[in-house]
Amino acid sequence: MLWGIVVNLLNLPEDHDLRIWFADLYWVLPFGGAIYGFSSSRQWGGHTSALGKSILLFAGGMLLQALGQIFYSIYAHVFFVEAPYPSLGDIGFFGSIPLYIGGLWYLGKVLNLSKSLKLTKNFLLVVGVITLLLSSSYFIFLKDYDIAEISVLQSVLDFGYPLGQSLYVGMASLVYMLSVGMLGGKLRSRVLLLLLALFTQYLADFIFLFRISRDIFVVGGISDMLYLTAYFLMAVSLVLFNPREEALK
Amino acid sequence: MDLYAEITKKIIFAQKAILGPVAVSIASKTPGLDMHDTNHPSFSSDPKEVLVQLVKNYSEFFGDISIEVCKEAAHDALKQGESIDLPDVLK
Repeated sequence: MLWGIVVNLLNLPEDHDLRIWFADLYWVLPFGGAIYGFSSSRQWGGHTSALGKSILLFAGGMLLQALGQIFYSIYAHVFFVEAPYPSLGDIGFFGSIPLYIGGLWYLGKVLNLSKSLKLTKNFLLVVGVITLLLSSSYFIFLKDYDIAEISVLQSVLDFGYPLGQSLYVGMASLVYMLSVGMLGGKLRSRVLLLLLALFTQYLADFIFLFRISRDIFVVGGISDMLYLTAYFLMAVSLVLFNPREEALK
Repeated sequence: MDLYAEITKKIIFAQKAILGPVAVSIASKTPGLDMHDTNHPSFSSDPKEVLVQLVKNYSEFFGDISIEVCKEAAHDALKQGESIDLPDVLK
């Protein structure tokens, strides 16, 4: 984190080694967080319990994010291609979206939200939030999209990224809104930290897509700092979710 | 199995579906509850008091959400027409 802050505070040139190495190496954080997350998940019963499944899916999403970063570094330093799109890196970045959605689905089960969703006002809230986020993503990124001469794969990703990301942040907002009044106990702060990590990740994704679409993306810049912050928050929440952690004993 | 034991079993199984093995470990730390056989919990003290303590132990994890899960499990355990002196926290 400190490395990234120094790089950006000193406003180092785009091709400065410290900036490039920062962008190439921060995958270590989501990778480590994911490994620890798998261990936390196992303590909660892994795929046999709702909390175990939720943590497993979030850890899997983080691992895929780390793999996406690794692939992009390999492209840059081994094949000398800057951020090819679509590429193997998208398996990681795009693949993490359904895993985050799955993680939130099971978190909803942990928080017993199915009962809340049966209430008409909450059901309308769900429909409203998801529609708002999907339509704002569409108007910001896809309104003037020209499908001609673009491969099917790229079209799927061009639509899938902003819409998929809107879906997971919409679900995270709903989990927060429907549970915050009743959520308590030792795990409250951990759940809130996990949701904050997802909001930060969405902000990072949104700013990344915006800067790429306006051709103002800088390697090791604000987007990478936001991704690093999101990974840090999620890694900390997964570490704190481990039932062996002192406060949970 | 008596009704208190049935309710206790249902609560532990409902929490196990959420928390995994941690739910059984929490139950086994509850004073007055014998968990040698998870399918047949037994009591060495007042079962109503044990139930209150069990719900309290689970509520330490997710607060009121955990209590709601316990309530639903307790009501599921009661067949139609059956009644029992449930502790206030499960009513």
